[in-house]
Amino acid sequence: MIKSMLIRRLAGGLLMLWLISVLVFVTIHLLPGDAVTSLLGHDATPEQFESLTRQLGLDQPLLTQYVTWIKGLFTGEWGSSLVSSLSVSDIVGSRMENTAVLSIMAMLVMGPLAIGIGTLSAIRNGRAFDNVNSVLTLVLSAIPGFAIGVLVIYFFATNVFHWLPAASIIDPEKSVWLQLDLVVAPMIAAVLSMIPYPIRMVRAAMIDVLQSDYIMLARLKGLPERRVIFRHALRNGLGPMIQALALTLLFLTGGIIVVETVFSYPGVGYELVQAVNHRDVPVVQTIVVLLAAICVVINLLADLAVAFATPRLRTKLL
Amino acid sequence: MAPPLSRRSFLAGGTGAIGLAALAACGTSTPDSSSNPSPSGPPKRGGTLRVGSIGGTKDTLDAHFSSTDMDQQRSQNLYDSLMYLSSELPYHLEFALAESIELNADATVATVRLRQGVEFHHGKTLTADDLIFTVRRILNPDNYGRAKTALAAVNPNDLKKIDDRTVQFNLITPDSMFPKRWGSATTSILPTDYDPANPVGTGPFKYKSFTPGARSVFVRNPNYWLEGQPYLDEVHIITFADNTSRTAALLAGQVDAIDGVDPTVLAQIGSSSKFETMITKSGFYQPITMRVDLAPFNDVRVRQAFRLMVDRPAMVKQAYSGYAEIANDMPNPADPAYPTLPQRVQDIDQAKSLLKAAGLEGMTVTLTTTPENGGLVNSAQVFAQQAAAAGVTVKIENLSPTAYDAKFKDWPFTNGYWAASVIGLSYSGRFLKGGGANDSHWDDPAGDAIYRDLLKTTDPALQKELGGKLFQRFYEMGPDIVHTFKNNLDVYSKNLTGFTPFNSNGWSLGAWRYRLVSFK
Amino acid sequence: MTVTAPTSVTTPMRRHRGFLRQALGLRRTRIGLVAVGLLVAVAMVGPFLAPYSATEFVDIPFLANSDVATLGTDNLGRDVLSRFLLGGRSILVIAFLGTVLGVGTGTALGLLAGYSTRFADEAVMRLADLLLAFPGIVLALLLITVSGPHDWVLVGVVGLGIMPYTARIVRSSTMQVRDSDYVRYAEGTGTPTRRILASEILPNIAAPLTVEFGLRLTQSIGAIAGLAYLGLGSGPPAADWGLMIQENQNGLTLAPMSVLLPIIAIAVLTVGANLVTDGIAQAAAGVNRAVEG
Repeated sequence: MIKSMLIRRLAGGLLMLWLISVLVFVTIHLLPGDAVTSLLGHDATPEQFESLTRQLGLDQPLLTQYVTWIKGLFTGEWGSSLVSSLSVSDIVGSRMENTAVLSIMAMLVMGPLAIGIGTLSAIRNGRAFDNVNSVLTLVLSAIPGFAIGVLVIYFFATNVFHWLPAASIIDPEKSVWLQLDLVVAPMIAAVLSMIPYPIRMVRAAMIDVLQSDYIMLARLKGLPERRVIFRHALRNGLGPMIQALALTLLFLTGGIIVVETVFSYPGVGYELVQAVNHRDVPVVQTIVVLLAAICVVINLLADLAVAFATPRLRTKLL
Repeated sequence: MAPPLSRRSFLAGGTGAIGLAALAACGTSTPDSSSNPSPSGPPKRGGTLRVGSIGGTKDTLDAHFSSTDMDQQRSQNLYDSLMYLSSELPYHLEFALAESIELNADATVATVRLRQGVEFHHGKTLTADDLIFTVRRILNPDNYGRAKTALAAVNPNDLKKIDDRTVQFNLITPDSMFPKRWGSATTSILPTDYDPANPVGTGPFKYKSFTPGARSVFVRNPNYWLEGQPYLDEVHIITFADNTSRTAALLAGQVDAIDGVDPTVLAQIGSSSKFETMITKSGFYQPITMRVDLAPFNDVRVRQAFRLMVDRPAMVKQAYSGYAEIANDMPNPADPAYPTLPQRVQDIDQAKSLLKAAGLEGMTVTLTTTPENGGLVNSAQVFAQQAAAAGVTVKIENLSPTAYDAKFKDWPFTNGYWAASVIGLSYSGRFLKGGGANDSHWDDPAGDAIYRDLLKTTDPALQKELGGKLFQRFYEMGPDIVHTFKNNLDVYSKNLTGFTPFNSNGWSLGAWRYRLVSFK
Repeated sequence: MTVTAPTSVTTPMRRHRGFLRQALGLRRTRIGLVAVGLLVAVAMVGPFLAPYSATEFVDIPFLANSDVATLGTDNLGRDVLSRFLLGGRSILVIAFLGTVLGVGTGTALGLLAGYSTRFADEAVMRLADLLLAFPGIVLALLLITVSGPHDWVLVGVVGLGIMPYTARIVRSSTMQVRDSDYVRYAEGTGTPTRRILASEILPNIAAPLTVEFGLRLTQSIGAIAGLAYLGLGSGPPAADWGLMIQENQNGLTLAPMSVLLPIIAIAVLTVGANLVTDGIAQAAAGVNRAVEG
């Protein structure tokens, strides 16, 4: 049973990945707006036009182009940037690691923080802590991510305090793990701009759990409140929490693009924005597919994790 | 962008009054020996200088192909050429790897004698063979170096090795500017076994690592031929794509110096006691360049109309916060040949009637710009606003340095940044037909003829007269709107010393001569 | 965000006017309405009140305030107040049109999925899944790469980002209403499907739809400002709150209003809209409960 569910989910994921690749391909090739003209600009000669068309493979039939592209995606031959003459894999490779490190750091900080605040808020539902929390998360969620980034730089790096580096100038010769000080500021910005979502979701989930018969029963049995919360409530809320964090991670995949740009953090998001500005199609399409693929994988893993963490579902599956 | 011209500026040249006498005079001086004022004893050794510069990913370490000012900056520290441009006016050069350069009276034969005992970073001693290799590499017809037009008079197959340190150049056409052509990084002397993957020069710093678009790390060359220099242990040049994060990095102490900053940055750091500001006043300019081979700017009436749209005093105030002087549509104000012509002022009515005559009333045009050098984006926006008064819609296309440099010389209407020079040197790059930096595609046979006459003579008076004629042509029909001469602004940590304003060509951070820089 | 959107409108009662009145009775709704009204007024009427044009130079750059510019000048010496007053309209209009487009198409697809055949349902939901596989901004960046940062592209991008969310919510609401007695009755009496959708189902999912609209509108405002900040908005020299923040970031100390004013405006607008939608959601739930009870 669990096996067949695994297989079904995996198949669904693969199908999704294929559809994503089709969608990206179709978007780039069939939408109005000609990449070649916008790249070459106003006064390109026919020869330039032709050579770029050939470089992009646009002179091939659409299906051939698609097959070539898909093959390349699997073999790591992602073509080369139209602007910098570097290969796309060179550009994306190290950026990917940097983005992963930033995301992991942000999730490591955000997860416990959101669960803690959300749970406490649920326990204190309607009281001072809960009210302060809901006002703060409301305001925080109302300030766009880039503005939070700008304010973080202002307060923690350049003007009020000088605690953090302002620009994430990561030395490409060294591992990003050895330069974590450069990750801190964008991490704080990412956490601040994302955390309202998981806090709200955890709070809502925990309120549900705390009102459930199960918890009522535990309380009636006279168990100490701390034990009720830690042994019973949190465990029961695990499923929704994982779901909340997975959803946050999905949001983060998009939100990180802006945060990276504010801090010039050399990740895929910053690279994507640069590439969009340059209309650098090979770089854009690769990063877009990668990010979407990551989202599909996150979804898949989250589904599985939720299935295992929820006693009810687990028994049903097994 | 500033590419070839920037190097062009290093070619510098005495006021045009070059000649043998002047050269002999500087034969004894050591480069920049005067420009390192250290009031409190000798400079301290050690330390790592971290410089933040604006650039893209199209960087190179190969001096002969360096194009952006970041390339220039790197090359200045890795390599040397035969001469150095002095930081001071009037324009003159000092000997670097050359011990002497002699030019015969009709400027057709030049003899270069190299300094003795100079070592490349890998231990090889500099000889005449390296000079010959360098010239042939720059003039390689399969892959011309950027200094190709500067060395156009040199015949790579007619170089005579007189002895181990002496080479005789038999020139194809007379070139009275020949000695001054060797002040640029694009004429850097490379060893015969040069490998671009592991670049080796004679410069004050040695290559350690380099990632395009990110950073370059150079370390001290202990065997540098200028005794005692350099003082720093390491130089890190860090690339930023935009000014905002670069300024933030300076304020947060992540870099020690930033070059070519936006004037508004000065106000921002003004209150801080941690930074020093250096103002370099020169003929450095950020012209709005019109491609004369394309409509609408192939019509001289349109070019003149655009020049009349600019309110120059307002440009100084808005785009440069006052850190600029108004200009008169001609470059190189320190050239003795620079003429006194009526100052062009804003005249919207005249501009409108010129456009009407050209049938282009109410036209729309796109101005391509980039934040690569402080003031570019701002002056483009100010121009757009001023042009609106004449009914012209100027759309601003603000590109990242990478995207901009990728198509340098292709933009139909753009603003760039160029160092100050003298017309005898800058003409071949930016204005001569086929010039490596001819971004306006300027094609003026009459002007080119005047320029060739200028190269034939070593008489300062005649050079001045001919140069004046070239300036006049720019004023009357040229491809550039030279609205202002911009002061270059650099900001660096108070802990640093050794930067001197490079007033000769106006480039940043003492034209990046980090061998003179030390920590206090 | 999806989580906060209530989807539990279960009772088949015609009370779409009720929940709005109920919502107005809540303090948070009223505070929110004032905030939203204020900001919309600033954005819409502001352009007529601006003392200068958006591109006029009034003084030297980055002044905190001067005799001619009450709230200071920006990076080029333009009047911050004028640019602020002029810079809201395009954001609001694009965000509004995008939201209308997204919620509109999403509703249509959601109704189709929720009320028609299993096949249509599958197709619509898989399409929604596919679009949801991309973080919204990534899809936006992809489309902008291909078609350029034109206003109509931005509207489309916002709409496309919203559509799948709305479709899901409308579908599940529709499914809940579909099996109600009065829809059954209408079906039984041979009322045409279009009529059933328009006059029976749509009014009964009005509450979640209103909440949905409010939520998506606030997100869109942030997204449009974000794109402008990334340099993918309508572009200089036009005034635009997102672009203002980007252009003047360096002058935060010198001319704080040039950065803070647009940030505060976006935040107040978003908080206000959130309060209103929250109020409506609460009222709708309350009405439900009352009816159910």
